[in-house]
Amino acid sequence: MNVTTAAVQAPRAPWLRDDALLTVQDLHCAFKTPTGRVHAVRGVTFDVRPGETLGLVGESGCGKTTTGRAILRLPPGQAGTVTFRGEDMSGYSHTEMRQARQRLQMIFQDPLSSFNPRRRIIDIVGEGLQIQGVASAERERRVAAALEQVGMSVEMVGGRRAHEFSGGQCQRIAIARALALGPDLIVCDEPVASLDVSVQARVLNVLQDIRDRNDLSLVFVSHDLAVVKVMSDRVAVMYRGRIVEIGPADAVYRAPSHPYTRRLLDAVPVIDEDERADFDVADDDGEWRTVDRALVEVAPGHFAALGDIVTDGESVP
Amino acid sequence: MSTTADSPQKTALWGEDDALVRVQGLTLDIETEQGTAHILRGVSMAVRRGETLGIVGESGSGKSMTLRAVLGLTPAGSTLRGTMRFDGQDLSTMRPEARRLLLGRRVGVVFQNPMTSLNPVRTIAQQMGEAVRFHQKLSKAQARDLCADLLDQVGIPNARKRLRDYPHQFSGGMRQRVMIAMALTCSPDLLIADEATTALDVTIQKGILDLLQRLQAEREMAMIIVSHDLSVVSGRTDNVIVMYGGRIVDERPTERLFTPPVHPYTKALMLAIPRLDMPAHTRLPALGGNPPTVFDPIMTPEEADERDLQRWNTISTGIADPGELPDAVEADVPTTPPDGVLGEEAAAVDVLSAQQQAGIAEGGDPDAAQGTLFEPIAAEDSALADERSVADEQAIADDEGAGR
Repeated sequence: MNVTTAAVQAPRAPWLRDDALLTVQDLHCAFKTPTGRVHAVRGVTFDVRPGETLGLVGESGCGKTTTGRAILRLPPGQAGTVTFRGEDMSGYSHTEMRQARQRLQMIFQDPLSSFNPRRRIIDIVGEGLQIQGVASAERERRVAAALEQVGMSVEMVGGRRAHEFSGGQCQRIAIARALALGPDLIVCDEPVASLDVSVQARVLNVLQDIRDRNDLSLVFVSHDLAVVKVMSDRVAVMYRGRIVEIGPADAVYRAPSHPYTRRLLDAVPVIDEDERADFDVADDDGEWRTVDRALVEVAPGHFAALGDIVTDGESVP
Repeated sequence: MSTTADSPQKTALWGEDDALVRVQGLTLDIETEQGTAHILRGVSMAVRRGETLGIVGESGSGKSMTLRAVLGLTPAGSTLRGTMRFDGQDLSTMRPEARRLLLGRRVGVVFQNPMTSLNPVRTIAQQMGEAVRFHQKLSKAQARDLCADLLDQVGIPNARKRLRDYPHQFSGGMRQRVMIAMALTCSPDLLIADEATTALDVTIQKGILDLLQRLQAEREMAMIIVSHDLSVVSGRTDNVIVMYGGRIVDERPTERLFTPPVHPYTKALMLAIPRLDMPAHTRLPALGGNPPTVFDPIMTPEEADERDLQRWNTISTGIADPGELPDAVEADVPTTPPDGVLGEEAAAVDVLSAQQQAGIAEGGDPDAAQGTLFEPIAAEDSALADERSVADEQAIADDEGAGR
C-alpha cells in the first residue's frame, strides 16, 4: 500500500551529497489506527555517507523510529525512495529486500524481546547468517569474530541463553548479531535507552569501535541529545514527522537555528551549564508547532526549517 | 545550609536539627530461593523542611527501596531493621494503620508511571475527590473547588472542565501533573518524586521538574527526588546521596558533589555521562565489571569499600572487559508472606564517615591510575568557579521565590 502524496518528483534537496551510501528522499509513512490515519513521517529527506553516523533525534511521536525502520522497509504504508549503494530499493521484492538486509542491519532498544528465549545465544548471533545460507563452518568463524568485536567470546556465551545476560550484555550480543552479517549500515533504534549510565557508556564505546573498525555507517535514533552528540557526525532533528533541522552535529548544537531545536537543547538536564551553547529561546512564538516550513541553508551544510510555508497536500491530525 | 563537606559529623544530615524524616541504619533483607537478598545494608539519611534531597544510583542500588521502606511499602516477606522517624515520631514502633494515617496525611508521592497509579475507569474528579475527602471534612462542592484549584496550580489548562475527564484523555506530561496535584491534596509536608520524569520527553521533563521545584519552595515542603540521572538532581536539590550496592557511598551538599567529584564512584558516574559539548566519536570512560549483587555477604563498610574500590578504579574507554561474566540471576521477590517487620534495634552498620570518603578519594583516584580521562576533570578548577556562581544565583532566585 502506498501513501498518496501531492509530491511530483521534487528537485533534489540541496543537503543531499553525491557520495552517499544511503539516500532517503521524500519519505512518508502512514498507519491506520482505530481512530483514523496517522501520518507519522511527512516528507523526510536525508543521506548518510560511508563511515558516517547520522543522529535522528526528537521527542516521542516525532517519527524518528518509524523513519529508522522505513530504511529497512519494515513499516507498511510508506512512500518515497530509499536508495542504498546506488540502488533504489522501493521496488524490491521480499527476496531482494532480504538479500539487501545483509548489508543493512538494525538493532533495537530492548534486545531481550527480539531474542528467542529458548535459543542459545550462539545460535541467535548466527541466525542471520543461517537465513542467508552461510555454511556452518563459515558461520562459526563469523560468529566468533563478531562476538570478539563486541568484547565477548564464544567461551563466554557458551550454551547460555538470553536471560543469563544483563541488559548491556544483551545489547552487545544484538550488535554482534548485526555485525556477523557484514553490514555497511546499521540502524540503531534507541540502543541505550534502558541502560544505566556506566553500561550505556560501554555500549556506546562498542558501537563506535565496531563502526570505526569496519568503516560502518550508522543511523542512530535516540531521544537523548547528549548521547546523539557523542555518536554522530551529522544530526537531523525531527518534529511532527518532519526534519526541522539537519547539519553537522557540532554546528547544530553550537548554533541551533530552528526554535524547536533550541527548545529541545534548552530542556536537556545537564550537570555543567557550560556544556550547553549560548542561545536564546525567548523569541520563540511557537508558530513552528502548527506551520511547516521548507529547509533553508543557515550555514554551509546546515539547514533549518525557516523557509516558505510548505503544504504537502495532506491534512494531518 | 550551614554545612561544610569537610566536617566529619556531616552536620547537614546528622546534627540534632529539625529533620522531618530521619532514617538510621536501615537494613532490608528478603528471603529468596537463591538465599537471603540484602537489599539495604545500613542506610541513614535525613531531610529537613524546606529542603530537597536527591537520591541517585544505578538500578538495583536500593534507592527506591529506601523510600518504600519509609512509606511502609516494602515487599511481603521482607525483614526491615533500623530506626525511621517522621517529624519526631518513631515509625518503627507505630501500628501499620496509625502509620498509614500519619503518612497518608503528610506525605505525597509521585511515581514514574501515572497510568498504573490512576484508575482508568474513574474520572479525575472522582479520584482526586476521594483523596481530598478522605483526609478533610469537605462537601462535594468544596472538594471539587479544591481539586480544580490544585489542577490549576500544576498548570493544567481549563482545570474545572478537565476534572470530568478520564486518565487516558491526558497526555503523559499532563497525567504526571495530575499525579502531582493528587499528591498535593493533603497539603503534604514531604513530597517524594520517585523517577517521576524518567518516562517523559525532555521538554516535558523540564516543565515537571520546574513545577516540583516551585511547589516545594512555595509550600516550604521537604522534597525527595529519586533518579537514576545525576543531571536531574544537580541544580535542583540541596543535598544528594549516592547509593551503590544497597548502601550510601557518597553524600554531600549538591553544589559540592560534582565540582569536582570527590568520591570515586560519583566521579565514575559523572564521567560516563555524555555531554552536549563532546565532539563526535568521543569514547566515554566507563566502569568495568558489575555492581555487587544483593546476595553478597554482609560486610563492614570498610570491607565493602575495599571490594568496591577495585571496580571503581576500572574506568576505561576500551571495550574488552575480561572481568565481566554473566550476572547472577536477580532476586525473585516472594509475594506471599505477611508484612515486613520493623526491628527496634538499629543495625550496627553505618555509612561512611567523611574522613573515610576522603581517604578513598585519595587512594583511588582513577585519574592517577588510568592517566587519560575526559577533559572535565582536567578543567575542574574553572568548572568549579562557574558552577558555584550558578549555584549562588540559583540560591538567590530561590530565596526570592520563597519570599513571595
